[in-house]
Amino acid sequence: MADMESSLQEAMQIEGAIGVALVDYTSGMALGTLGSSKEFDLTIAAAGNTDVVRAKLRTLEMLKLKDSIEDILITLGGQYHVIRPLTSRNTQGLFLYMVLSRTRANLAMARHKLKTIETDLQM
Amino acid sequence: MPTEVTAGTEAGRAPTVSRTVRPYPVREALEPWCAAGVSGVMRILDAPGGAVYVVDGKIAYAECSVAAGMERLLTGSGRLPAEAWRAAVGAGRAQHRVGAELVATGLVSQAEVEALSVIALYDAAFFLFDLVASAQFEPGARHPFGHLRTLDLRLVCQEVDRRKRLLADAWPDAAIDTAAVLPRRRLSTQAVALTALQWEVVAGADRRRSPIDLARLLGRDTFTVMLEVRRMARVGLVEPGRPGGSVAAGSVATVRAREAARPEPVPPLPRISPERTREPEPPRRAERRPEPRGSAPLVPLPRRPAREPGAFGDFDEAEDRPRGDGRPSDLILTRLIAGLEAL
Repeated sequence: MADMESSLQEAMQIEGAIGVALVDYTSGMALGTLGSSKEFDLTIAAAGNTDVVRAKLRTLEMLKLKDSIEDILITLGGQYHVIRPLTSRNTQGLFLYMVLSRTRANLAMARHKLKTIETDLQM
Repeated sequence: MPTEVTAGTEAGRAPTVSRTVRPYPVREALEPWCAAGVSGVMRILDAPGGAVYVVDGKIAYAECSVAAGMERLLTGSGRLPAEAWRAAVGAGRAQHRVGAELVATGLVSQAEVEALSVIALYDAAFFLFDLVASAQFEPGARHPFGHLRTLDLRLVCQEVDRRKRLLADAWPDAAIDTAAVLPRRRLSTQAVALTALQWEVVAGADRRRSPIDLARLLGRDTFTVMLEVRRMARVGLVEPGRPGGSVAAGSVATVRAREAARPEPVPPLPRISPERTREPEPPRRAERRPEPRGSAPLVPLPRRPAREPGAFGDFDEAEDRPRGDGRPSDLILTRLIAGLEAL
């Protein structure tokens, strides 16, 4: 069973990790962040990406797709942003937000590791 | 920096005694304690009442009667049976480790407890931080739940400000937070998509409950329910009804009224109350004057009745606040002198 800090630390161990945040997407509040810096304020990123998640969830609902989001990938020139909504009942309404360096990260590996971290968090 | 905090000790040294302070913005009252890196609790004595726990100068927990506490978030939502909560409280209260007891039962994870404690902290901070209230700091006090995560005061203030902006952007009239939630009977759109929480809100709305009451009913934090109701109001799914009659809603309405009264650049109301002139001034403006610093701790503290909206006091803050230069205004000096003479 992982506490929040060690889960976030584990995420930062992912190759190419720049920052990670656990975010409440009703309010857009970051419950915990690691790797935030002056150049990259994860609190602001968390709030902004909340709108992304909400918009996508609403779209799925309007399309009547009976499916859930496993993750959302946003590819920038130099970074990957991976958003992973947590799905278990007790962590519903939270998502993991991960920023990766595009040159250093292995996307498939990173997604796989995020899945493991999610499982630990949901225990 | 409030002088009353350091008045009991040598100025500048870490404060060591608890002291009742005069009405003052809570977030500013917390600054010196956080800067000094102390641990303890600041109890907010005026309505709606609450407490902010500080550990080594960082904000560890906050609670407020109208905000969600750990109990509401865990048991009100149906996440945890009430007996499990009571058992953990019974086992862990004395050692300040209710949270650890809960995790030990295996019913909730450490991460979840931490996340909920941050949610509860921000929910209470939202209602407390901009309150102009009497407060008292008790060094060394700890919350029975135990302190799991600590946050910088600056970070909490930023989040509180962000939440205010978020609410204002969604729906500008704060009265909706304390008014009954009325789901619209007829909608102009063809399709409606609700988030899970929005659905719970609509399902729980009985044309009497305000967002404050619904948050309590659903076991959610008050802020997110207020936000979702405002968002639904914006898209025309619900509308504000009559003011909610519950105690909690009334209490928030009072706080709101005070908040709304403060930043308005209206001319100050004539001060007619003799008691008002005796009230000690917020210390920052008085710092340059030697005599109030020495005598400040001896001043008996006139307490406004808690239910008074504090219109007079809050207009004071409004006119004082924009003065970033730290120089006392003439008005304040006049009142200060009047106050000292009255002693």
